[in-house]
Amino acid sequence: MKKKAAVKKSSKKTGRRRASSPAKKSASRSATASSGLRGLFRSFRATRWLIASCFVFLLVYLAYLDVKIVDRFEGRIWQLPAKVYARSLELYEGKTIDAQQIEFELKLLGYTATDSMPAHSGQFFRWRNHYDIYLRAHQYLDTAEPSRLVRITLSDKTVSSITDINTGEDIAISRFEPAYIDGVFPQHGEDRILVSFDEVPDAFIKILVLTEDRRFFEHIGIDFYAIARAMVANIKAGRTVQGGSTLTQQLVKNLYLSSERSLIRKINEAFMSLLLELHYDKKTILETYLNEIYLGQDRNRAIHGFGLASEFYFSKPLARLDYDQLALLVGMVKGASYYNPARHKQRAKQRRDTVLNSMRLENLISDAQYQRLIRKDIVVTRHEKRSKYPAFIDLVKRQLAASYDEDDLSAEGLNIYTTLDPYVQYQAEQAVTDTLASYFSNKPKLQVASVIASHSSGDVLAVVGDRHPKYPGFNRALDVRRQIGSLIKPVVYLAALSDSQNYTFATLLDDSPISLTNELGAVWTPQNYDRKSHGQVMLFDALMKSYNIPAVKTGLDVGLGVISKTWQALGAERALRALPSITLGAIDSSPIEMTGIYQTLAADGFNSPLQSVYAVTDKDGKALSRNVIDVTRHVAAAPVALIDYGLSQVARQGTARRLASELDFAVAGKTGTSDDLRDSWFAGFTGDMVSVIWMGYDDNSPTGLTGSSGAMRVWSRQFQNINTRAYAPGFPPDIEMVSIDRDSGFLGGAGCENNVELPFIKGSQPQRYAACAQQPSKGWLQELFGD
Amino acid sequence: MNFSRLVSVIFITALLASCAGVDRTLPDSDAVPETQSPFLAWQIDTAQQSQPVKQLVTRADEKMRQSDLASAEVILERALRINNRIATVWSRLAWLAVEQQQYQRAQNLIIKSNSLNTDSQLQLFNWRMYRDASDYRNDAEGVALANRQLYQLGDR
Repeated sequence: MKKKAAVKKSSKKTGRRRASSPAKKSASRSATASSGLRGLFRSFRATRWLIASCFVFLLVYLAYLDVKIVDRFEGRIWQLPAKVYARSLELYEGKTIDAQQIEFELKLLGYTATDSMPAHSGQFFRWRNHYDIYLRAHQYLDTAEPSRLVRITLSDKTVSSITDINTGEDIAISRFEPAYIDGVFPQHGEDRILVSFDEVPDAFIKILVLTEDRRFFEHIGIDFYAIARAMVANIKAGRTVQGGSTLTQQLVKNLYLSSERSLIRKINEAFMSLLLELHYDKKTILETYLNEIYLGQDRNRAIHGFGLASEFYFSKPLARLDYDQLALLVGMVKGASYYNPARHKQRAKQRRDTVLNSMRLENLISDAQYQRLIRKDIVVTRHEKRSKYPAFIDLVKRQLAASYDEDDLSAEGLNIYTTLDPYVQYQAEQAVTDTLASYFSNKPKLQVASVIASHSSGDVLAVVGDRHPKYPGFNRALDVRRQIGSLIKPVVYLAALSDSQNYTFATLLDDSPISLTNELGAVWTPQNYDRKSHGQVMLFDALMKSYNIPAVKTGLDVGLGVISKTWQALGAERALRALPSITLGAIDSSPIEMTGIYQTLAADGFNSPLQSVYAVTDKDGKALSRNVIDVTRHVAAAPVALIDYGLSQVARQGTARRLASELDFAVAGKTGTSDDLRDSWFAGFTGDMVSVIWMGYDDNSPTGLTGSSGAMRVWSRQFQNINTRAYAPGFPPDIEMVSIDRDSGFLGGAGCENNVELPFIKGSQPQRYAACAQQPSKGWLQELFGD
Repeated sequence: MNFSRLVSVIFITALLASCAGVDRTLPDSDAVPETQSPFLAWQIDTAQQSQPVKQLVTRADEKMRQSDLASAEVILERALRINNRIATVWSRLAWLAVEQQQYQRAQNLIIKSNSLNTDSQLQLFNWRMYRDASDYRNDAEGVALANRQLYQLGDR
């Protein structure tokens, strides 16, 4: 600035001299010329400085772009959502399974039916009671399962044999790959299955390069020839009909830039493409492109990369697609939404045929192949619009939250292997929707929640959280907390029977009316459901018929603290308040908590924490965590065996006796109804599963339903179609069956009309015979020693 | 009690007392052989196992011999999901838990195994394992319980 001021000052002075002294014009001219040269020189220096500055700026900017490119390429290019899988279906000789379930599983996994022996993995052929299945190779945790052709023979809803068709050898145990059920997506919702360059078919690379960037393997990131060609075409057409972007430019745009149409963005794209080509070879760039490209939308998840697109649209890996399918995927690069084959079949077909025609012209396919391929319809896999299993996935996320950050779940490409049994889940959902439609169509707001678990392992097999099972809102299976009514009675009687000196199934309980007054003077008068008093009833009958008054009296006698301890021993988290009303189930609980409690009863008193996640591996399959089977005995085996027997009789002749006619196998369970018929519950178990159903209104208004007329209908319906084992009471050695006279509670005999066989902890059975009993004649020893 | 009954009772009691000497001898520690290898104790119920469970258990045993405990555990749990009432499979899991220093879990698994088992050899093995697991976690009550059970089984 100072220099410029000096120059101006000097020129002013010169001007004055010019005006005052013409004699000095020549000298002045010469001075002016000298000054012009100096100016030019100065100007040249300034320009040079400017150019140098621009060059330095450009270098710095290029360095910045370079760091940006390398940083992303060398680091984690993509956030990979966790993939959530169902359990892997085990098949072995003796497994209970019917044809319907086998076909369900095959369909879920995308196996296709053939008319003859399958030729490729992922195909199956059914003939009579045989399934010839070409199993896919897969890795499940640390075990690699080979692809193999097997024959599964069913006989009477049971696998009678599994044979390797190629070797003829019997296979003791085999399994299907676990079905993908959902993903845990980051906020921007990108999903992809990474493919390596080497696993992509050559034909696909040729089709892609032919269609998108013919000179990909020759250019340096920018194809000037393609740009010129596109310019000419666009000028001729008067609009944009062709693009000159290379695959490298497309990749740069997708990875680093926005889709904004501006000169600056285009310049950046060009620079970055050149830099990318400078750093990485064509194979790496193309591989990244194959995994990056956007190819559609599935709810909140964006389908990226050809690996996922292939599975998403065709349920097959890229390597197994036919030419028409490869052509369609490549064609979709031009506009994934516009050419979406599920929504715009005709458009997608036209685009596919255009690509096929290019392939024909380049001799990638013959004329005959071309003619055959363009006649093929567009057939793509149908997808649910919502998460398939929202309530179950909710449970998975909650259980994982204890060990994993949300970021880990949505970005690290983890594999989450869950315990979900898709077929059991399907039947649980069907039971809910069918029952509501058949019996409760006049109650459109009636809600339902259901949980099914394996009682030996604690694996949660199915969860339904809404009358519309796919609805992802309030998850009633986990979050509804309602009064459980008579579901508490097995807990009360378990506490009593644990004291075998004072309580057995034959203990007579007083069913006469009772009134209790609390500290504030309020009077509570519990009543039986039928509002009648039944005199003296055996504990066994009080449980079977779900009488209220004996339960209250027993609970008070045993002690409310003992009831609370038993409740917690069975798996409940919270202790119960010491109020007499807890003996009738004035306790708020959720279906999932009640499932845990009944799981302990079903598993002979061994509590196993309910778990929805079996294992988590990193993206390379390395195990990160696994939930091991854990069992803890909190309750003695013998009293639990008694209660389980009682519950099996509830389902045969008690309040749940309708189950005996609806199911062709034995089960055990208990109905529950809260005050004013606001909540309808059923909790029960088969030989290998435990399930709890809740029915009620969200606003807690009366439903008009008991446990039997409401929730039990859903429970029964689901187990009519689930392949499960019958419940068979397994008594520990210290239990024995004794005949009891039901009227007196004493030992029965031939003379009594109302005998019942009941289990007792050895030594706790009544010692006296009922008056009606014809006592067996005494042996000589008994005669000798007396009674 | 009349006189003749009293005489009879005294006579029979005296007779039983004279015979009892033979049976009252405590079984020495060799009466039940010390389990040399857990695999011997686990042999008992292979007959009850179905073919798939047998195959899985054999595979798990191989992994255990190779000290690949994590894989063995996965395979055994797979067997339990097919049939959860095999005492030796639970016992194997307990052994793996001890080896992995999960002593409390081992105790639980042993109780589960014993609830399904009446074989004295497996009971002995399990209770010894229980005593070790209790000892490792300084659970004096657990050690005492195991010792009582072992005493009843004749392991003195």
